[in-house]
Amino acid sequence: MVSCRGSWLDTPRAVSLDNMEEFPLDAGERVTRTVRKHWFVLLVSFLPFVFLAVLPLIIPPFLMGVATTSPETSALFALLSTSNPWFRLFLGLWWLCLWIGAFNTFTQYYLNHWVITTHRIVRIRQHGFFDREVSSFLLVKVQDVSTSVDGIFADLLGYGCVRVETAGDASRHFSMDGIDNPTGMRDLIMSEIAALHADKHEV
Amino acid sequence: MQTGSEGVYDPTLFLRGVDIESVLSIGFLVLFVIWSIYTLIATYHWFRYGHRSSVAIPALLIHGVVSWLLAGYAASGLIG
Repeated sequence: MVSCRGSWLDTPRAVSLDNMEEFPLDAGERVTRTVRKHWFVLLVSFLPFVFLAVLPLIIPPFLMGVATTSPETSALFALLSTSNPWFRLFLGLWWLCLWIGAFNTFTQYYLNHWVITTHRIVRIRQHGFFDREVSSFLLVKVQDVSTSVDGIFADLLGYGCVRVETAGDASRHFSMDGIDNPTGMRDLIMSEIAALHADKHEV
Repeated sequence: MQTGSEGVYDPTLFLRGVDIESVLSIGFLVLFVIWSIYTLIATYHWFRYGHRSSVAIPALLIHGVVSWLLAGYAASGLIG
């Protein structure tokens, strides 16, 4: 079953799977932007798969170089080449398993996102298959929006974290990690909040 | 030590008694079942939560094509 975890961010209207929509928009509400993590974050999460994929191609030649003293061991390692059908079988299945893992990573990357609307921020998190969390955060409750860019790559490529804090009895926060152009996102959220307050005053 | 007919050490000698077709059939059947279940679940999630996106269909097509290419590569030395 799809899990919508209980969270302080949850609002009853935010979660609706009717017509395959996860949250219906209010009257006058429109989606301003949909945000995902920066492509570099995805790239970094692929690196372990790439490393594991090339490992079977690197290890045999390395071991052959080390084990030249024993002809029997050399003969064994000589079999670990792509000309050996059994090794190709292993390699193909190994790569297939890694591909499934990498595709799973991409699926999670893509299904995890934030939606900024004129009234709220909606966070959609896919923790795993059949484990999904949809939570929303009303912009009128926002007290502070801060950004942070941490690290060389984050600084060079322009991705970082946006942290939104609410006013109220208990200070709570909402983080968007690894998103592109965090300052632009902060400005967007602040402008939406300003527009909301302006509409309120007009009414 | 295992030696072949010419008395030379052959570490794959133990594989000679293995029926390759049976190994391949069972191995690929198991893998195909696992792969199918995974693909069905992934497809369900893409269509349910990413159906509005133009990425969903190409992503699933690429998954299918790459998977079959890798499976083909795995079997390439032992079939045909």
